[in-house]
Amino acid sequence: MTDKNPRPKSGDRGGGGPAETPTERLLREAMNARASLITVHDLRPADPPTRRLRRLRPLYLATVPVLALAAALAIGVLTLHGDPLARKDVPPPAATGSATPSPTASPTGTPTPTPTPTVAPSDTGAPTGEPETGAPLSDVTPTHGSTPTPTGTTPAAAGKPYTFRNVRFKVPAGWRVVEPSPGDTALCVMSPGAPPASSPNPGLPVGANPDPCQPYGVLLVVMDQPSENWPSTAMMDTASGWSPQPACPVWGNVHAPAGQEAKSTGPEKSTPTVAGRPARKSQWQGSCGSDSFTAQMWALPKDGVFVTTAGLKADYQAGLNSLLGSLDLSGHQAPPTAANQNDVAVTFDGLAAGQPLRAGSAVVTFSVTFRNTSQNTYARLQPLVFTDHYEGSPLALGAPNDGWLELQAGGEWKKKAMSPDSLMGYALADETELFKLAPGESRTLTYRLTVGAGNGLGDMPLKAQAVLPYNGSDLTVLGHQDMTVKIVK
Amino acid sequence: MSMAIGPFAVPPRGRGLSVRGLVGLLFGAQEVGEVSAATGAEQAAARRSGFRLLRGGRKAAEDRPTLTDLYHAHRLGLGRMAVLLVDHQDLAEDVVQEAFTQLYQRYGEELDDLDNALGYLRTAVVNGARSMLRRRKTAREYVPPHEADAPSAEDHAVLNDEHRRVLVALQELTPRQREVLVLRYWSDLSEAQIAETLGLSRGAVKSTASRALDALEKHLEKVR
Repeated sequence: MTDKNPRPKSGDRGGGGPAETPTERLLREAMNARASLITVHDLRPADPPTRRLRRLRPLYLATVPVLALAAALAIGVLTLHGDPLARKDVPPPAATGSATPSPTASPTGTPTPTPTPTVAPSDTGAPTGEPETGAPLSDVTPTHGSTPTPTGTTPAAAGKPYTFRNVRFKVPAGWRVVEPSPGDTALCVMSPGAPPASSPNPGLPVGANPDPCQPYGVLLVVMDQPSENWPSTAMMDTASGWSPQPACPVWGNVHAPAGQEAKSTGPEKSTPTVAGRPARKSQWQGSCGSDSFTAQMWALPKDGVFVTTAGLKADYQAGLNSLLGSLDLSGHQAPPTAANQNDVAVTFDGLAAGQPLRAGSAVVTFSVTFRNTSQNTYARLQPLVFTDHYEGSPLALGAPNDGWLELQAGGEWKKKAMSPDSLMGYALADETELFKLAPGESRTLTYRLTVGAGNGLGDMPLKAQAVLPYNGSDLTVLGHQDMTVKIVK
Repeated sequence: MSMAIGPFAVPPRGRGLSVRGLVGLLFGAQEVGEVSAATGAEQAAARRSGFRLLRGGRKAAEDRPTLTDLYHAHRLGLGRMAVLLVDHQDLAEDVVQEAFTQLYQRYGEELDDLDNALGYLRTAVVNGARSMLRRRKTAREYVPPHEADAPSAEDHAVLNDEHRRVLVALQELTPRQREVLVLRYWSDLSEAQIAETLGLSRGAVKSTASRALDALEKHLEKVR
């Protein structure tokens, strides 16, 4: 039952192709072995969908109200707390850092003094070469409650400065940073007691990626856009919000929980100050069998910054506190709000509104220009160009329009999604297509639209958007332009 | 042209024209092996399908399976494909369920307006898996394992060390590379089918597969 039906070798397909290599054969066998672990008995009870409960429209259409809410909250916070760092001005690319506050017109028209960031936006973490300032820029309310008392066996002195997505902190002495990949929003800072990076992770299922951060380290999450993903402030109110999945982060015995083995109580909530800003903290007590652990999560909601740990040995609490105390968000650009939804001007060229295009034969090349009209630097902008649904769309609700939409890249035409889909596959970012836009900068991209014969008569919308890289939750639109072309026969 | 989603171990057993057989005929898919494990819902679907045929509906060749038929026939195969992409059974089942839900949202129970429901589902699963991976990556580099994905001791015995190394190396590839390899070497799709599923050119599929195999070999050499 666990084996596959006989397959043709690659050489059998084309009647002369190369025979299958040992690697290919091994790959087939391994995938077959893995897949065969799942039988129909292992699946959840069958539950074919019978109700239209989920959203019918692409998620991005809901972004505006989400952003509006975020804006309302931001305005409230600005009004109530007068936080001078709610918005950042970013200097021209060549400018060097300055700590001189400069008055700035915020998107709401309220002058807000903000210090100029001292670093250019960057998506990858890197050790900073700047001199240490000595005193931490923030204070942290001491942890209390059931948090294990630091024993003092771990050096708590701040160490090397490090910058991750423009958030600066000092790596506690003896701790080490797991170097992130470009685009990562989470950074793991490992405690001195963590096992070597190359050591195996006993107890983890085959194929599971090792999780060095639970319980051995601290996870710093820096989001650049609103997100419903873990960690979130909403999850800080839930009994199991310390982890996105059931887990047993037991020091020295990380393992998958068996059945209902993983239990947690809490959260115990408090409102400490982190990085000089009002923060939230939730703390849970967890257990897996006879092993117990503490989970902690701090959030700077407006900044999209979280610090979280679960199962960290009490010996390293002082190091964790030291890291928190060194957090510096002065260079971090807060996630955009509704006020930023027109930061990027988007224009079409080479295609006129209402231009007739014949279904089945029209091939039109046009360009889209994205220009940053704001004072914010966007380090990673994602272009999204697509045709939307209309009365002539070939199939029922939600089906893509017929044809091809291609982006010119590197001398080649790269196929893009013709229309949105509810799974948001069309919005998944291609890292090679992301670009940076400093204030005043622009980028022009060339597209080619081939109109398929399956499109009916009507006005087909053509939309272009500048968005932040889709994070699996919300699509943050920073500029858009819509037009329609007339599909004729 | 095979439209099989994935391998099924046991050849179809003779039970007359079951709904799975019908689906297989219409979509070119192999019948799910675990026939004896058919649930009550599946049997109900078969009965319903049979009733429709008896009451003189369209000819069998034109009678497309309903979404429920597809669900029972391909949930396992799609789930197996998804688990190779997301490496987590719980998430894989979420992805597959979402794909069927998406299909239902657009077309309802009857799929008469959809020519290639299986292709649609396959693309939806691949896209859903990508989205799921993106969410996991965004949230953090790792999602702790869930009980449902923890192989039993017997499962460990089934997977030998070499297979484990290959699977770990597979997870080291880029999502696109992994998708191409899964679709090519597990789902047994042609380059053209993979291109259609992933929205790539055939040339891109070929080059991605080549690079993926090279990367896989390098990863394997590292852990040997």
